Amino acid sequence: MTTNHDNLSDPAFVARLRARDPAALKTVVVSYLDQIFRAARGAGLNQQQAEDVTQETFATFIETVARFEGRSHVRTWLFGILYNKISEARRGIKKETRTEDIEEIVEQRFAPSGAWARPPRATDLELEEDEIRALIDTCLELVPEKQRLAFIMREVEGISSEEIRNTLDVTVTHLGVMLYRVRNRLRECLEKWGVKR
Amino acid sequence: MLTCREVHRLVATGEIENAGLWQKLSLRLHLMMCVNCRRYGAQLEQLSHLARTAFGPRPGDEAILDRLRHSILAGLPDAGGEGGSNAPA
Repeated sequence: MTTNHDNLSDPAFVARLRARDPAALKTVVVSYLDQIFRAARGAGLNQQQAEDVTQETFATFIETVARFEGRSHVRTWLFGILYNKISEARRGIKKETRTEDIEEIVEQRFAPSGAWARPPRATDLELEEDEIRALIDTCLELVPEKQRLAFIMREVEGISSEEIRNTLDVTVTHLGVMLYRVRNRLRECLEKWGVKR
Repeated sequence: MLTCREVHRLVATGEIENAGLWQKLSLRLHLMMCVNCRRYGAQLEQLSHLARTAFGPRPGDEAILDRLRHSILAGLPDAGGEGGSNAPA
């Protein structure tokens, strides 16, 4: 079933969702199941956890949809629920508390003039898909959920910055900082791997 | 003229998307002249590609998604399920 993303923000459709119309609920499930599952997996959960979290996200959505006012897009609401589920699932996992360290690391690459003092090195990464996945998972392992989910939503799912900000309830500046940290953390990590080869 | 530090920040934060025409032109000019910043930008693009490879659709996903879809739809009000009323919060 193909559904126009924009149609799901139509007031008539939102009214049906709030009334828990089964056909409307089914449309949402069918439209966004793939994205929610991939995002759960990309956020650092193993496959079983990703399945469980996906199931719980839609269960909570169905349970709470009467409270959805339609001021944001339904996907924003869904991803907001997903973020909370991911945070719960990863609660026991130790994460970096000083995520701003990556900014210090990158800053050290520049001279006072603003020119590169230690420019990025060429890398030659030719990896199988499984190797890429394992490497990126390793590089992102300690990244906080919010940063990682912002990165996945932007880079993998192609979701707009505005929608990501609404989902995670962050400002323009904060989203920029989060993306900056994840992108540079990954780049630094992959450069080390690339150089070692 | 933008510095390399400014360029890397504009690109990595995504601020360049909302930049004005002048700043975008300045960025383009800088990239024409700076091989290091071109490499940095290319590496960030490569990251996007790698992330899509790592976290995008995989072989075997269809069976998982079919199973999930069936299970979730079974919980909808018209399926005789309780519509999530006993679902975990």
